Amino acid sequence: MTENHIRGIDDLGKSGIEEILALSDHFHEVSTRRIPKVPALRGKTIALLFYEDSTRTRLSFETASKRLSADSLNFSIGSSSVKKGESLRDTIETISAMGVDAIVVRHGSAGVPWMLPRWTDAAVINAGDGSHEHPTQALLDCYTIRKNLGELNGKRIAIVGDIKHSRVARSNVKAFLALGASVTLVGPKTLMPFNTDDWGVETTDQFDSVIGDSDVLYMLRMQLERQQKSFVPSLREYAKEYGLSDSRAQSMKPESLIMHPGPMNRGVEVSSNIKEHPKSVVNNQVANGVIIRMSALYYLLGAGSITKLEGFNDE
Amino acid sequence: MADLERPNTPLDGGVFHARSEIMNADGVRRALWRMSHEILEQNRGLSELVLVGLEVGGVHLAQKLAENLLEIEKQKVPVGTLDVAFYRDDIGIRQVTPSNPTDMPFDLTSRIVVLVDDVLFTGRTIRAAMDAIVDFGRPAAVQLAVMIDRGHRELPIRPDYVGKNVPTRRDELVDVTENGVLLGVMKDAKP
Amino acid sequence: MSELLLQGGRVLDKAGDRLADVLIDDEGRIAEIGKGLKGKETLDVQGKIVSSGFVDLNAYLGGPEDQLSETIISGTESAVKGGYTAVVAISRNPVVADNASSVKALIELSEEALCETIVSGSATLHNDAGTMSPLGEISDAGVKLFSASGPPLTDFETTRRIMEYSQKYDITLLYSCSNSYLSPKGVMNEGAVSSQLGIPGIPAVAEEIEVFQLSQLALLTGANLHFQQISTAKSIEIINEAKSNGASITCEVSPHHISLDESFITSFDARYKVLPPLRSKQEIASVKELITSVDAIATGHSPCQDHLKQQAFADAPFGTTGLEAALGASIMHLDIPLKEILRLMSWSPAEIAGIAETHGGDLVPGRPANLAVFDPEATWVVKGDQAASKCSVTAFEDIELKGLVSHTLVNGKLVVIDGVVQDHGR
Repeated sequence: MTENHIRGIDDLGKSGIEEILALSDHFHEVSTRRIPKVPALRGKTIALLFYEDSTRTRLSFETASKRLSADSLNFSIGSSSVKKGESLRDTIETISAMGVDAIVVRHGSAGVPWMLPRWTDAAVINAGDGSHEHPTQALLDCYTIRKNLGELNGKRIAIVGDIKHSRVARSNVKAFLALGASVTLVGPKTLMPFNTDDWGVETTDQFDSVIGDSDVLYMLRMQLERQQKSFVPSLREYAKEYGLSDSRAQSMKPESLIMHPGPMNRGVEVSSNIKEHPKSVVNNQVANGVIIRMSALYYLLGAGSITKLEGFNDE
Repeated sequence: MADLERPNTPLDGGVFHARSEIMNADGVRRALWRMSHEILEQNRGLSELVLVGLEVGGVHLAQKLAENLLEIEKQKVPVGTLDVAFYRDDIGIRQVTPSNPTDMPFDLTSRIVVLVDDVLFTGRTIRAAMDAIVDFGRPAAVQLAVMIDRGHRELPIRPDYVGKNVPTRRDELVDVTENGVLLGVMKDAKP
Repeated sequence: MSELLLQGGRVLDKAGDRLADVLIDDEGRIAEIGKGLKGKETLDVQGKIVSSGFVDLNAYLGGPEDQLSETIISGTESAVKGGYTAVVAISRNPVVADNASSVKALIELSEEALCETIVSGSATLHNDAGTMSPLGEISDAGVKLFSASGPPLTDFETTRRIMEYSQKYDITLLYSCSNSYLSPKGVMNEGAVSSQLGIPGIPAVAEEIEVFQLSQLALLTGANLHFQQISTAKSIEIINEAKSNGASITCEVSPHHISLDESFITSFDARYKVLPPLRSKQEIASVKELITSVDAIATGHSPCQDHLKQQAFADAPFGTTGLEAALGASIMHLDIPLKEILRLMSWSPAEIAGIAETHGGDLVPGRPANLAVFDPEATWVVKGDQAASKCSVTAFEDIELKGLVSHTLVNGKLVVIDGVVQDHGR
C-alpha cells in the first residue's frame, strides 16, 4: 500500500515540489518531440474520478496519462449517483477492484482525497476538492513562474479575488511559501477566509497598494453567482475595485507576470484583452498543465520516491 | 585504494570502494582516440554521423569523441544527449529517476546514430535507448560505443566500439571518468 | 424477580458517598441500604460506585419509519449499556409527534424499550412549521417535553404564541439553536481550521444570537425552556443572565462538545460532523469553566446508517452516537467531583424530564431501583464496532475515556451485567 499521494501541497513539501518541477523539465522536453510520448507507465491504470464536471482538468490528466502510455479509465459521476445511495466508499472500492494504480479525483466537497486511502491501495491525486486544494494547479503555477522569472525565492506574489472559495488559492499559498516567495491575499473581506492568522501571508482589501510591488499578479476567477449572495454588490463594482484593467497592468513592475487559473471571465477579474497582454503567461499555464500532470503521475507511479538515482552508471 | 564518496549514490546508498584501477587517465584518452578512428573508418566519413551520449556516464565520452573527430577530420559532428529513464523496463520495480533532460535538437531520420555509454553490462539501458531513439526519427543505422564492456549480457546486444573488455563479478561496480576506470564494490549499502 | 443484593459498593447520591450494600426487593424497589446486608442473590460491586441511573434528555432512537438508523430496542440497549435508565426520545423529521394519535403510537412503541423511554412531542405541525400543534391534546396523552425549534428564527410571533400557550399545560419547550441563517452551507465551526480546510463554517455567534432571542422571549412569556446541545460559553452566560432575571430556563451540553474539538476534522472524517459543530479548544475550555451552571449533560445521541457517514464531509448527515461514551467522556474531560457528574447526568435531567419520582434523586428505601454501577477509574478506548447501538460510526472512535458502566438496573432488573446487555428475549 502506497503512502505516496498528492492530495495537498503538504503531501509533497518543498522537496516533493522541487522533485516534480525537476521532472517537469524532462516532460517539457518530451512534449516538444515529434512523438511526445514515452512508455514510462506502460501497464499502469489511472482512474479519473470526477464528481464535478471539469473538462479542462480531466482532459489534462487524460492527456498526461496517454503520453506516459498509461491506461486511463474515466468515471464521471454526477451527484445523482450519490443520491442513488452509493456511498463514496462503495464507488472507491468498486474502482479499486478493477485494479487501478492511481485515482485522480475531483469532488465538490473538501477532503475527499484524504478519505480515499481508507478504501483503496491506489495512489491518490487531488484534482480539486471543494474550496480546499488543487495541488497540480499550484505545481503548474510554480513551474510557470520558475520558467519565466527564474525562481520563486524572494518573489512577491499577490493572489487577487475570491480567496474564500478558492482551492487554487489555498494550494498556491502553500506552494509559493514553500519555495520562498511571499504572498499577499487581495480581496474584499466578504471573499476572504474567516481566519488566515496561521497562513503566513499578508492580506489587504486595497488592490492598488500591491500592484507596483508584485512580481506576480495571480487573478482568481470570480464565480458569477457570488453577486447573488451579496459577497459583492455587483460584478461591475468588483471589476472596478479588484479587476486587472489595462491601466492597472501599466503600473506593474517591468519583470512581472499576470496569471490566471482559467477559465477567465473577461471584463470581470481581468479586462477583456489581458490574456494577450505581454506580461500574461496564461497560455503557458495551460501548456504546462499536461507537463505537470505527467510529472505528478510519474512521481507517484514511476519514480517511486524523490531520491535521486544517478552516479555509478555501471549500466 | 581510497574510498570514493559520491554526491549521487545509488538508491541503496553506501560508499564506492575501489579495489583496482583498470585504466588510468592516459588509458582512457588513448582508448577514445582509437575509438574515434574506428568510428571514422567504419562509417567512411562523418557526413551522416550523430553521436548520442547516454545520461549521465555517456555524455562526456560522446563530447570527447566529437572533439577528437573534429581534430582528425576538421568536421563537427552533432552531439545529442539522451536520458532513457522513461524507457526503462524496471520502472515500478526500482526507483527510476531521470538525471538531465534529453537534448536532441535534430531529427535522426536517415542519420547514423552512435550511442555512447560508459559501461555496457546487461544491455537493458541500450535496449531502452534504442526504443527512445526511434521516437526522434528513423535512423539509417544505430551503432554502439562503450568505454567498458563488463559482460553479463541479458539481451542480444553487442558493442561496435569498445574501450576495453573487462571480466567482472556481478556485484562489482565500474566507475568511468576522464581520470581513469576503477573496479570496486559498494560498501555499507542498506539492505 | 427475586431479592438482589449489591454488595460492597460505594453508594453515591446527594447525601454524599458511603460504603454500603443495597438490597433490592422482589418488586424491584430499594428495600434497604446499609452495611452487612443479606440477600438471596448477591452481586459483588466492590470498588464500584452505585448511583441512580443516568437520564438522557436528548436521544434519537429511530422511529416507525426509520428502523435502520436505530430502533427503540437497539437505542435503549445502547442507553442501558451507558448506564442510562431513562431516555427522552427526540423525534427527527419527518418523524413528528404533532398530534395525539401519533404520540400515542410512539408511546406504545416505547413499551418495548429496555429502559424508561419518554416520548417528546412537536410544538409545531410537521408540514407547517409556522403553526402550533395541539399542545393540549398531546400533553393529555402524557407528553411534557416538546421540540419547538420548528418555526424559523425570524417568526418571532409564532414562537411567542407557542411559549405563551404552552404554560397552561406545564410543559417544557425544547430548543436546539442551530438554525443556519448565518451559514446556510456551514458544516463545521467557523475559525482557523475551517478557513484552512475551505469548509464552510458555522460561527459560534449564530447559536448565541438564537439563545439570546429565545431567552428574551422566555422572560417575556414565562414559558419553560430547555436549550439542547449548547456549545459555546457565551450561550451559557446568556442563559445564566436570563435565569438570574427569573427566566424558567435549563440547558444541556453534550459529551462530545466537551471532549472533542474542531481539529479532528482535519481528517475529513464525517464521524466528527455534528450540529452544533465541534468547537475550538479554547471554546471548550471556556465551556468547561461554566459547567457548574449547566443543568444537564445530554448525549444528542444521533445514530444514522453507517454508510451515510462514509460520504464526503459536506454530504454526510450531522450527528454522532453518545449514549455509551457519555459517562466516560464526562469523567475524563470534566475536572469536577463525581457528585457533580451525577447531578449533570442523573439528578438534574430527571427533574427536567419530570421523572424525579422514579429516576435520579437519592437512593432511599421505597424508590424503584433504577441504578447504575460503574468504575469511575476504569480507562477504556471506544470501538464503534462493539457498540450496542445500530450505528457503529461514532465521534468517540479510538478515544480514551475514563469511567465505565458495569451494571445497570431498571426497576430492579439487571439489564447490563459486567458491561454486557442481557438477553431480553426480543
